[in-house]
Order: sequence, then structure tokens, then C-alpha cells
Amino acid sequence: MAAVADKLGKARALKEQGNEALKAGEYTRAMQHYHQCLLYAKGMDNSAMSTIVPNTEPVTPEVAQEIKALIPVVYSNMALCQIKAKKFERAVWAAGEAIKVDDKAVKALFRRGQAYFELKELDLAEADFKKCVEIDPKDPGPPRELHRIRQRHKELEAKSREELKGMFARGGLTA
Amino acid sequence: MSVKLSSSDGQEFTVSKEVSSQSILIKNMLEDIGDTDEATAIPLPNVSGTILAKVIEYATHHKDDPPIVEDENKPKSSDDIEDWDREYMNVDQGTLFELILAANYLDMKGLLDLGCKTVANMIKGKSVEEIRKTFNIVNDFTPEEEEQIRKENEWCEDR
Repeated sequence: MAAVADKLGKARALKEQGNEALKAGEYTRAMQHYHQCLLYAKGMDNSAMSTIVPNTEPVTPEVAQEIKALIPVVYSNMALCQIKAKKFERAVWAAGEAIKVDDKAVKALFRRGQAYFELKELDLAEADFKKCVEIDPKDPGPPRELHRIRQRHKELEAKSREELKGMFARGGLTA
Repeated sequence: MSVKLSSSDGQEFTVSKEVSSQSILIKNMLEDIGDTDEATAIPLPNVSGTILAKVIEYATHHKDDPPIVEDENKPKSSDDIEDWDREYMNVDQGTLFELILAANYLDMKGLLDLGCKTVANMIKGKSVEEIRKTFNIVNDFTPEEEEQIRKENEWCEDR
């Protein structure tokens, strides 16, 4: 049985390797490190059952806290990776996993908002950016994205008006 | 296409992709990193070889099951366990709880539900004393505390 300290060390190192690969623009390699990191970090905290299950090394509260903080950060970084790799659906998933653990994970909410925007899910994007503003009203990023959404709505309205006009001009709706 | 899995104690298992994908944790990983070379094992440092072998047995038997759809309105019951599953769960208590932990870690809803139902059935119909005995739980309440809790929970007792 790998000791808790070893597993925690592995998880930390894999997260760092993931971050380095992400910085270097190697997204697949980064994803590989991040997923491996989760294989170590998840399921490590068995403290709830350590009295019943034999051979489990109880996890100290400090370690449990560190794992709890690490998991959403890794998922949130995965979301960034997926956005950079233009895999927006997977970005929504990864950010969502971070938000599941920590509903105030503002970076994850921001990234999910960006991914939704790219997927043309403007209402969902808006909801995420609004939550970001609630959590951190000083960050200029989310209001900027909300402005972009409003612009996009205007463009779409203008476009559909043009299309309708076109239909009338061709007499499409008079028949 | 096959996938190699390695347990906390270094045992390796080669399984088909459809079997390994019963674990949502592994499925998501394979989805993101693609079909990497089959020689590199996926480390599962939080499952021992003995338990992983058991988990694979379950995943292989259930590989053709339709995905589980969560229905909030459907009342949950611990009476609907299939014969094969009941036989599968005929293990000692330590193994049972390790299987539950593994199912939770690997994100295998079917196995997790089965484990929890099995535990529920071990509790059902038993008195407090019997439950303590079954799970080796030491009574750390004072008699006053115990009386208080008994009163508060009277309403849910089967009579």
C-alpha cells in the first residue's frame, strides 16, 4: 500500500508537471499529467471509513484539506487546457467538476463561461460570468465578457432582422 | 483496444476499453488523452490488486448494461438486487467496504449502489445493539446522550 505521504508527493509533482506543459503549450501532455494527478489525489482521503476498512492509513486533517483544495485547481487548469486546445465541450466538463467541489471556484466559473460562449450557449455563459462578478466584483475580466455577450446578442438580432428583411424583399412571406 | 491498469501494490491488469470505461474516472481520462500506447499502465494508487481484480470482475459482467439514469422521483430500494450481484457481494465486511471505496474513487455508479444496498440490508431490521455488533462500533455515548437520541429518533423506528 503506497503511503499517504508518497501519494500526496506524487500528486503535487504531477500537478506541477501539468502546469509546466500547459505553459509550454503542450496541451495533451498537460492533460495527461493532470489526469494522473487526479488518479493519485482522488480517493486518497478514506478517513471516513478508516475505522471499518482494514489496512487504511488515516489521512490527517491537513492532508485532507490539501487534497480538497488541490482537486478543483487541477480540474480548473484542465479546463484552461481544453479551451486552448479548442475542445470546448470538454472544457465545460472539466470546469464543472471543479465547480462541483467548490462552487466559488471563480477561475473555473470564468473558464466555463468562456467555453459556453464559444459553444454559443450565451445564457449559460452569462450566468457563469454573473456569478464571477458576485464572488469577485473587482476583477475586470467577467464584466468585459458580459459586455461581449451583450454585443453578440446585438449582432445576432441585427442579423436576424437582415434575414427577415431579405425574406420580405424576395416576397417570400407575401405568398 | 485494451487498457492496462496498475494497482497500488503494483499488480497489472489488461482489460478491454469497454470494461475500463465502466469507471467514469478512467473513461474521462481516455477521452481527453486519447488512446495512448497500450504499454503504459494507468496507475490506480488507491485500489489494491485484490480489490481491483474484484472490481474488474464486476465491470466485465456488467459491461453491456445500459447507462444508469438518475431518477430522483423513483423511490430507492435495497430489495432489487440481481442474483449475480448478490452472490458477488457475498464477501467479508472488510472487502465490502473496500469495494465501496473503490467504486466511489473510480466513479462506478452501479457498483457503488450495489455496495450501499448491501450495507443497507445488513442494517435493516436490526436493533441498535445488533448493528453495533455487526459493524464493531464502540458505544461512546453516555447513557443520557443515548436516551436523548433515542427520543429524537423515535418517529423513524419500525414498529
